[in-house]
Amino acid sequence: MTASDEKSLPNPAPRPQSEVDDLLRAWATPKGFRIVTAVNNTVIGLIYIAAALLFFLLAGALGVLIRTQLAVPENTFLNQDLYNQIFTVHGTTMMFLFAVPAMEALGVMLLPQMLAARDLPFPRLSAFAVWAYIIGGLVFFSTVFYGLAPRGGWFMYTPLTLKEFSPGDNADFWLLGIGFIEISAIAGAIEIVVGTLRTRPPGMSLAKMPIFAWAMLIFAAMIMLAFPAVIFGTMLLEIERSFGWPFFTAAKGGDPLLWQHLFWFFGHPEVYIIFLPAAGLVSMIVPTMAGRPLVGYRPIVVALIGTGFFSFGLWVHHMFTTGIPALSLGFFSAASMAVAIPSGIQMFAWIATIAGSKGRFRITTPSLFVLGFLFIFTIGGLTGVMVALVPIDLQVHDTYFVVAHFHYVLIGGMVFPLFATFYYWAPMASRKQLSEKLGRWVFGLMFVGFNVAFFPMHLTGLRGMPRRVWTYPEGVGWDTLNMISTAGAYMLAAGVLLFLLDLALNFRPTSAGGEGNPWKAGSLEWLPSDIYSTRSIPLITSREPLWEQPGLERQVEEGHHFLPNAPTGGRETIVTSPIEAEPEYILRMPGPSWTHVTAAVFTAGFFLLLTIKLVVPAIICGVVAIAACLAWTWSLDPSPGRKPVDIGGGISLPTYMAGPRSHSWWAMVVLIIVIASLYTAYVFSYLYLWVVSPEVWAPVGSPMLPAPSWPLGSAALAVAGTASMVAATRLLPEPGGRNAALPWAIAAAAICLTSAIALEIAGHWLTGLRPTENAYSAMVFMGSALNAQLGFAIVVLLGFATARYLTGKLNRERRVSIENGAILYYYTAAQLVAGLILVHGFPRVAV
Amino acid sequence: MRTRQSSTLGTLCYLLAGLLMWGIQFTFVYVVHTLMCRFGAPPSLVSGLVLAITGVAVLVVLAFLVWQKPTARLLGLPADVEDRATYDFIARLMAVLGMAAVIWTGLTAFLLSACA
Ligand code: HEM
Ligand SMILES: [Cu+2]
Repeated sequence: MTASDEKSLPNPAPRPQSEVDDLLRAWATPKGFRIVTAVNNTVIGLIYIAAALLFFLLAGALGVLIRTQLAVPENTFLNQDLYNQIFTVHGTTMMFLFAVPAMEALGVMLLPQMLAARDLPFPRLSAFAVWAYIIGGLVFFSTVFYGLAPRGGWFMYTPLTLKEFSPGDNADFWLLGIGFIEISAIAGAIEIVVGTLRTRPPGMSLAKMPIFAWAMLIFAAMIMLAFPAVIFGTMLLEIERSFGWPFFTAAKGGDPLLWQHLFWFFGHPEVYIIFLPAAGLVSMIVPTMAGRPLVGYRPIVVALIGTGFFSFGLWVHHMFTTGIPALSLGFFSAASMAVAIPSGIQMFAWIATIAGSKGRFRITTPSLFVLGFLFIFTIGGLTGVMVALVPIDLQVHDTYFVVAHFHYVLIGGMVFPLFATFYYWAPMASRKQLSEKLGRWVFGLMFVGFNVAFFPMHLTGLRGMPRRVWTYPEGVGWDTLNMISTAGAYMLAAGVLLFLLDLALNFRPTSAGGEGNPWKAGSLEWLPSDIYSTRSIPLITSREPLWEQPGLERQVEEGHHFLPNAPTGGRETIVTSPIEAEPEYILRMPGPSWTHVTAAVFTAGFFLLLTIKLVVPAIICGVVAIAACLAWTWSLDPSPGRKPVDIGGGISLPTYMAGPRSHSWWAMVVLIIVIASLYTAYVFSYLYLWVVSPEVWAPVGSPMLPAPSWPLGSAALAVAGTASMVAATRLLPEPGGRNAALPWAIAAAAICLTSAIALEIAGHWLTGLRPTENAYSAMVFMGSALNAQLGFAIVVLLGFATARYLTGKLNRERRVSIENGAILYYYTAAQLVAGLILVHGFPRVAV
Repeated sequence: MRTRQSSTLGTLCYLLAGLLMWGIQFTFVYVVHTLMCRFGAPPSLVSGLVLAITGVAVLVVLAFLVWQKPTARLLGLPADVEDRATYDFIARLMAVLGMAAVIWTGLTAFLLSACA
């Protein structure tokens, strides 16, 4: 780059050193035990990854116990009941407490660095999710030590998991464990969507975004659409277990298969929720090791999105043996095979990149893990296409063939890329690189051990060994194969232990920049950085900035790019437009705090106490958690009264934003999409139960539906409330002013909504309908339960907005706190009316 | 800096058009066929309907491919937006992938009796 080019940088003049001190002060991490209040993504991200790794080790130890029990026939090492608990906790922990959180953790850790943002858009939200997950996850896992663990397998099929067949609290602990991943997944989705779309560096248009960011964006979108199905399913199951609303009880018009639909509508995409980020990581590592840009950036984006889409058309392939019409089987079988195409596209792109390096591809520990991934995942994909064929699936369903298949996909598709990631990105977070020498041994042991452990399971499966059996008889041809599997599992475990040794010897965590750029990679996370991330936020003009924009490291470090300082004195980052990444405003972010930590602890306490049916203490915890959340959000809407700040390049940005361009609006929209998917799951379930047994919709002898005046009244109230909410947003005073009508308009809106919900419940109740009666009545009341939940949230939000008004913190300019409540309100009113049409209209027209 | 920014939702719809069509077709055939079989419609009618839906979906994706530029304009993607060629390429490939999936899914109706 020539001297004249340097002149055209956003901030060409030399910058004073005092700016770095300001940045260091603004971003300082709390010391000592106060580290738990930290919110910096590099600190929280590391804690998050460590926790996920811990759960991998714990669940892995259970896997080794399983293999020990199965090493020889008729073994009595574990008894049957404990075995059932162990495989359930192994599967549940691996899927929910390790795989998904590990990917979220990498998002928290890596995304802001790759996007040269100073932090995620909602730092405390991630921190909250991390602590809730760690506490809840540890409690869930520890149940296995007390015989309190669930026994129903990781997908907890009904009716086995109904109170009748699974008495005690064990199954409820499963629901609890899931509750936490639900919270952290949704928090993660909000962070990632807003983070990838709004906090990219100036100039990094969507078409220049690193593949990992694309993968995480799709990951987040899939969470938004898939998780609500299982959240709704777990709500139904817990309500049936606790209060006897018979959603899954066939004798009362319910259907156990409804659980399978809800679970797998989530469960299948879940597999890709795990795999896509891993593929994204591989797409970052391969070009670096090959020393050339990725071949097929655009096809890879298409493949990632295609996989995400197709994965929603596959769920029934887990239910091929449940008696579904042939043509349906056909659709789902076809879609299951189609999903192999995008995976194939990615495979070829990686191979082409490696081949295109003309032998310069460096064989390092990360590349070995990537190659291991290519090999193992391909085999898993091939057996996947096999089980997508209905006749084969009918043979091998619930045998060890399936166990072999999904470990090839999961360990190959996720664990190997994860270890590649550990070795590849360690220098970013540690003062020292991990050992290349030990790393090769780790890889060797894990790769050989894995194949020795899991390949024979294909054969035991084909020889008829069912999964989930605690032991097996001698002499049916399974003995040797099982012994080999167990030996392999020990070898795999040895590899993991060696990795821990490597960590202990070499990993020296730091937020102050790590070891530089040892692999000579081209993406932004390898820029010189400190606790505040990069000194200035680079102007991006290419996909591999560190390769194609010479001198970038030095320019960034010397502060010649955007925002080389902390103009508001606090934590801040640049928000850019979603497609072109043009700077829009400065986002002022909150720092360390006890509020979100308190909220996390008491949220965990709430769910835990509820699980063991200590209702009153649970409610107290819930109230404390909500109070902590309110205290936390109180500081989030800072006063806008500042002049625009100059970030360089002649650009001045406001430091406050409300309305559809603000990050808080975006977060609310993501949340509403989640809520809407949840409601869709409800509508699906309602119609599904009707399709399965229209003759009981409603059963003979049920009370008549309430007269039409009831739903019409409820709808009228919802409309009136909406009008009053719109009025409230128009009544906001000028800054410093007052408007006495505002609190009344807000109160009227809240009262209308709660009455609308109450009226709907009362109407049915007065006809004599009771939710425990049958599946139909349970579904009717369930709709109102969902509305009531939202109604509660809205009352809290509107109360919050009123308090903001009374303290002079809500006006025409500073209006984020009412805006959020308002859009949620409009959505809820719409959902309520849609529900009325379904519940009152549908039975009147249905045949 | 340009004054006109691309629409976020529009750009996403443009990029995803082909796969969205597959999603709609898939949902439609699954729902229609489940309901019709459940209530005793003749299987040949069901198969015919599945094929008809598939045909419409194929036509829509074809139309998208033919009129790609005008569609982009309609969805609020300015012609001079940076990296426009990349978006066009991604949208086109996505449409081809979507079309393949639509046909592949629809084909099952030729092979299987609908309500068995
Ligand atoms: C440390 C290496 C591992 C070993 C030795 C191992 C071993 C096993 C075995 C033998 C089973 C079958 C139990 C039975 O059906 O009776 C099983 C089940 C399972 N494993 Fe693993 N596994 C390992 C790692 C993983 C990983 C990394 C994941 C996911 C990311 C995973 C997810 C599962 C799931 C979901 C099940 C099904 C549990 C159920 O049937 O409910 N495993 N594992
Ligand atoms: Cu699946």
